[in-house]
Amino acid sequence: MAILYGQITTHQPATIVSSTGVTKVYLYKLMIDIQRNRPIILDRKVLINKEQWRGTLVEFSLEGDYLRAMPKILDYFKQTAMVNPYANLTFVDPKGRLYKFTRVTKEMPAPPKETLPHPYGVDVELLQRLIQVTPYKNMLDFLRNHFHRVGEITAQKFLESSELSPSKNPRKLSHEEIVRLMHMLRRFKDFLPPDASCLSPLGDELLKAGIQKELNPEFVAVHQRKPATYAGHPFIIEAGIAYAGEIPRRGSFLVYRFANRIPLLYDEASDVSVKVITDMNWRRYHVSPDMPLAIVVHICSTKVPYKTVGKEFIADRVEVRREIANALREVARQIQLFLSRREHVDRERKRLGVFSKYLPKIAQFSTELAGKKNVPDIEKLLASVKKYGAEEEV
Amino acid sequence: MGQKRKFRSSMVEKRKEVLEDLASLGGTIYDQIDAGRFPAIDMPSRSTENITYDQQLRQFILGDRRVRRSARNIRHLKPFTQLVWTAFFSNELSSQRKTSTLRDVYYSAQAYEMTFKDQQESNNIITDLETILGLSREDFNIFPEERSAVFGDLTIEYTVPGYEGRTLSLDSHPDGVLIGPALTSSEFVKTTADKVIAIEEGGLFTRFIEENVHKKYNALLVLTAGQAPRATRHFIRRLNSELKLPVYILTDGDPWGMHIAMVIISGSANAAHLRELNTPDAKWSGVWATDIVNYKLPTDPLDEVDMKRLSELERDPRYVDPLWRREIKTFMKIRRKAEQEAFSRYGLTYIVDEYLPSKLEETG
Repeated sequence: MAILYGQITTHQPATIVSSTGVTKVYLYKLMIDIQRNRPIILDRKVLINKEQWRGTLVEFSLEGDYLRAMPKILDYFKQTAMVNPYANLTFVDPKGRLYKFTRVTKEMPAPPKETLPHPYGVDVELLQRLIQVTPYKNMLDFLRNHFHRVGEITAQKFLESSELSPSKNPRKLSHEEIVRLMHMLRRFKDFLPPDASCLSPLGDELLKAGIQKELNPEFVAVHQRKPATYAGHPFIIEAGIAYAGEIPRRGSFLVYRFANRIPLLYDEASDVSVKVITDMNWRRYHVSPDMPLAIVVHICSTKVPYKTVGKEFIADRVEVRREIANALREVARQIQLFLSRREHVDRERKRLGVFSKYLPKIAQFSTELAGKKNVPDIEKLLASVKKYGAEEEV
Repeated sequence: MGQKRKFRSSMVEKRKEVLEDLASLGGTIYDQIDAGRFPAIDMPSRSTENITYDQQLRQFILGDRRVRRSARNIRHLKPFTQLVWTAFFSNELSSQRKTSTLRDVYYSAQAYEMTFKDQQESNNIITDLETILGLSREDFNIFPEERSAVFGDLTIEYTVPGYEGRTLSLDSHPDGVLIGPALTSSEFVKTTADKVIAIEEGGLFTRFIEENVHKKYNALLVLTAGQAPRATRHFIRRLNSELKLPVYILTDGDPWGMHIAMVIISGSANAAHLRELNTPDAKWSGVWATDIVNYKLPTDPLDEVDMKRLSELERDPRYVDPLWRREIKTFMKIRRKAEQEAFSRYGLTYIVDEYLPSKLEETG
């Protein structure tokens, strides 16, 4: 997408250098054949990798209005750093200014495992593609080998209930039969839900570290939901809430949205997360929008339910909405606990302050009133108040 | 100087008693702290449920209900400190023989890093101290703004610093003498008067002096200037009890004037924690509702507020005497009110020459 945009604005080729640390480094200079959606390779080199360099380098030019785009670009970096706390990001902008986002950890989340499509999530297009490439000659093997969570028994049961012959060659399915197959797959009740090993959420530790690093709040709470599915696609919601510190007070919550560790910058108001946040009864958690508060919502999925092709915001799907709401409730409970505890400590401190302000005065005035010489010792009284307070302060 | 005092001296004793009471309050608090306890003070409750009218004393008194202010209770802590400070400050005033006003107390607190939210708060604390000690604030030298005055043949001897032993005849200034701290703390030396006439309004007070009422009727004239301040009520009581002078009260002929007289006679609910502010034997001599009828005075109608006040007074336990009940009923019937000046329709001196003697006789 970026290379394409560079090409249509500057018509310069992109250079890509890559090596996995073996003896060779590969260098490609290429452009995109836009009509056929294929690369046009202009130059190709294989270099000796003396230093055992490892990595990928992509270089291209693009034209843009940096002055106007600058805030969003910086946001993008900052938010990317937030959900990739193990990455070092360096950005030199067109004005020569250097931005560095330093990693705070070397831990990375477990990489996702490759997975087959789940039958609840298939469409006609996918079925047709599978049929074209499948080496299997009957429906039973076809189902067993191309779909997630479909074993022999499940496949048999499905075929039976759908009145399809297990021995039918999938390549012989007519167009109508393929459409029917899709509907049957989606309707069948006995497929197990997809497992989430194909997802790579950040996890509590990393999300917390990322928020801490980029927002530097006084308090942060995070929560990862158990995997859930919508339409056969597994997904995991992670949420975080950050309070005070360097977070500004704006009269509304700051919302950060991510999909598969990518920041979503545009069309915030249409996003399901914002709807959930707006609908939530925050007062229940003693939280109000005029507090300096940031909310982070991360959705991980094999198919992120974007509403539009622009991939700018998440659609309002019941399953997704419910998971986001539950995740936010959990972090809201945590911040409520934090706030009430802190309030309690504050109250205790204030209480002690009142005693240590007034008791000495009472002692002093009563001494003069009684015509005595020495002011009575109030330390004992103060200590008794303190001890009482200290227990509750912990 | 050198004049022999004819009457019982009360002011010097009173001051000694005040200082002793304050010191003993300080001692109580001191001892509690010294014993490692949070200091606490008990005092009679001043809530309305604890205020009852005592027929024998003929004033409001506080019942048995008591409240406790404890420094252990964080909500009491600030008022408790304010109370101790106020006692301390009163002690300073009394021992140095200085006086202060309610407003002054409010500001003085700031010098000791004591804060009162507003003057109402400091006034309340002063009332607390009054309740605890059973003394009125004038006793510990805190006075309200003064506006009432006295005139007549009474010689007093000052006890305030710088004036000790000096005497003054209260007829020496034709505007009357302000009933302030110096006067209320002075001793009575001698008088030829045989009665006290208390007057609600400044205009009439001046007229009485001009018309020589003090000589014609051998009276001391006291201007209450509306509702009589406590210092003035106490002063009237002293005139009555120390000099054995009967007291006659002249007010406007309306429910409010009637009540001014009643407060001088029976005291107020606000001062239920105090004694010796009332003069039970004082007489309300007019202007009565029946006077309005009998003298055919020019009148104004009673408005709704006046009528409401009347029905309140009707239920007031102080208004049991047949005379008062008759007047309330008459007011309610005629629905008219008249000021003392209303007598001027019969000429400027009518009130002095005709009305006053007949009323003194009627109520004497």
